[in-house]
Amino acid sequence: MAEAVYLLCALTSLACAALLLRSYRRSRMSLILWTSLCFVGFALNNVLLFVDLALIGPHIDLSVFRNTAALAGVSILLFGMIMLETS
Amino acid sequence: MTQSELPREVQELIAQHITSVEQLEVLLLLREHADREWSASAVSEEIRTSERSAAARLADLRTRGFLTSREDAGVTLYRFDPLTDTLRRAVASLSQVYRERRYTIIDLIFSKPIDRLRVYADAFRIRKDDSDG
Amino acid sequence: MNTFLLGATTLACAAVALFFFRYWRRSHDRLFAILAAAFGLLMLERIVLSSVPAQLEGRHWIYLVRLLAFVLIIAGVIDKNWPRRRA
Repeated sequence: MAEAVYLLCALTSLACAALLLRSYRRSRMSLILWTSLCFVGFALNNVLLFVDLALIGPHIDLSVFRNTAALAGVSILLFGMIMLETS
Repeated sequence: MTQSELPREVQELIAQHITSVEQLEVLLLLREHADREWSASAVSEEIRTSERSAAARLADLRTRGFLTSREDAGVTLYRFDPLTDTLRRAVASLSQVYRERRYTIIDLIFSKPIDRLRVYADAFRIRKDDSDG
Repeated sequence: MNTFLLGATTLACAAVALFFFRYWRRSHDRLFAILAAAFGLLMLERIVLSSVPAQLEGRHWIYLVRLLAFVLIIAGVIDKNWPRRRA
């Protein structure tokens, strides 16, 4: 059950990232690229969560890596939003 | 001439009413031929867009007070007839500036924050739909 | 380290949610309201995650909040792509 949740979150993030990357190629609006990268970060976060909790046992802890991926993703988006505001 | 040197009435008109270059083209087309009535299909042939998109632009411009309309045998016909003289003068001024400084006007339309948000929101679309928005 | 990362992500999610809220107020596009809600949920999830002990049984239920956030994003994208009635 929990594994399915992690995978679904990862797939959703990847789908959003792909959709937005395609849109970015068309519109070249930088905020779309940042949003796309944010979803890449979320996807990485969720994939690592799945690997960490479902595939490998409790002896290895990837929590720092997965939390860093999420923070990097959302920071990129926030950076993009602030850049748009000041441009 | 930079954007800030455009006539004030033109800047205000774009800020308040103009949402896209296509909408602007529709408005200027009807202004140029203010003596006749236009259906959505006639407009779509003239400015090369889909009829559905032209119909949406025309209805929007009527709501904004630039056009009047009447029904004729199930077809809506539009005519350039602004609600106020101020609006009429502003469109005349915009029309002239658009002829001389087309790219300045297009840049101004695309630099509107609301337009950027529309582009951003449309990035979440799976299909490219040119007849909407 | 993880608590720090979760805290930073919480604040970044909150800021992003506020940006999306403002985009919604400006454009009246439902997608932005949905994205604001989704990032709000992601923020809440991080707050709960960092305040429960790591070994707690049933910790994965918290990730259902994350799933809800991603389901919201999917719903928003579907809503955006749904053919809309003409005004």
